[in-house]
Amino acid sequence: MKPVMSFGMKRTRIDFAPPGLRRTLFRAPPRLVFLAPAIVLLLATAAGQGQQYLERQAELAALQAATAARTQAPLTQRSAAPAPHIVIAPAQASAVNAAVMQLNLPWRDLAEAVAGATPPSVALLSLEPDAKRRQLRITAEARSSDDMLAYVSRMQAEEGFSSVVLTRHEVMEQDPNRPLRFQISAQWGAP
Amino acid sequence: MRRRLGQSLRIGVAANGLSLVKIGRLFGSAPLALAEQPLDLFAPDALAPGLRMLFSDLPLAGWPVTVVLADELLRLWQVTPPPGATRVADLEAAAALRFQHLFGAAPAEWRISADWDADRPFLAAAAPNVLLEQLTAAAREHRFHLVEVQPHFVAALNGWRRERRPGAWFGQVHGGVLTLAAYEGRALVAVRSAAIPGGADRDWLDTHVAREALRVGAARPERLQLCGAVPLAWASSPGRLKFACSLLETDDDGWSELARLARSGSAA
Repeated sequence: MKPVMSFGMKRTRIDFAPPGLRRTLFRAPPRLVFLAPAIVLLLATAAGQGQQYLERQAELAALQAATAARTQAPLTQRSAAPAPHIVIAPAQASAVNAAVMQLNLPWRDLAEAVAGATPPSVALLSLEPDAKRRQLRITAEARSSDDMLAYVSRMQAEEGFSSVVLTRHEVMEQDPNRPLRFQISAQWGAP
Repeated sequence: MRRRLGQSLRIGVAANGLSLVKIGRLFGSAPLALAEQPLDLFAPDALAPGLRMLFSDLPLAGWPVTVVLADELLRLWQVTPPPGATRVADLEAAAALRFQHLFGAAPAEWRISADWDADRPFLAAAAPNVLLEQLTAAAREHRFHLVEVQPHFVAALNGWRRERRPGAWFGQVHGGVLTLAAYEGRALVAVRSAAIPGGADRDWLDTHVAREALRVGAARPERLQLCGAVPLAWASSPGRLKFACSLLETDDDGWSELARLARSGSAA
């Protein structure tokens, strides 16, 4: 036989009374009344905490407003004063612009494009971008003039580069392998 | 009449009269019989004047009032939930169908309330709409709060539920009728009523319980717990070991039958 709790039986919920708050309260176990002081205490504490929180919130808002007003004041003074004190020389302006262009250079894209187009028979020596003219000067070495010419035509075919020209080439006599060192200039991007 | 914490009033409504009892649900205070009013409930419009006379000099406004309806005014039956019932509507339909089948009355004139359960048979009760409407009207008229309207037997089941033990049968003696609730473990098997013949003693009780066990197809109980106006002679005595019988109440506490109805479920 199953062990049973000796805890009485459950309520038979048969009731014809009209439903309502009174009925619900009446059905609650009467001993809950003894919990009422605890519930009241909890509610009072919660209300107190809430009140305190709201007060602090208001205080914080006031402080934030004061801080904002304090920092706003010099700003408005400064903005009120006109800015023509600073005169920028044309040379300075162009230097700044050049620096900005240099900084804005799509360096990673360029390097990737060039590296992607370079076959193993060609060794890249240097990449010198000129942001102002949107020109890239590539210095490389190849074993033979055929490799060099193939490389140039490949660069010409590369998208994103225009007017790829061989500007200079020479045979490195000092090197026992006698490599061919050459320089290409290429324009990038839309003018 | 001042109302203290946890106190409420109970009205007993029987076919032959009304009674009013004050009970306290806190601090274990004993119920107090306040008034009784004999009347013929089946006479037309008898309840409202009867209640007015019952409450004659008692201001009831604001009191929570529970009503105990005598079992002869109600129908009480057992409903087996239809297999695969998932909604309350299924159970309600099953209860209404069983009601019509058992009592042949139109469910429209009755209000059915039940201890709805989709898994096991449950107890259902039906009260006449007219009676319930009269009670609601009385609550409005006397400005009390009608918080509970229960069948007498259900009030006893609930009132004594802490004393009841799983597996024990529960019985109620009232007005010469013994109503028995047969249990198997915690599950209610059947509710049956029978008139108690004059001079019924413990032997009659033994035979009656054995017969009812056979009739409902349940095992004979090891214990029977009885409430209401139970004759003292029915208590367990050595030598009769068919089953133990414990009396939650006896008939010698000086309470009248009507007052006992209103008080049912709480010890005097």
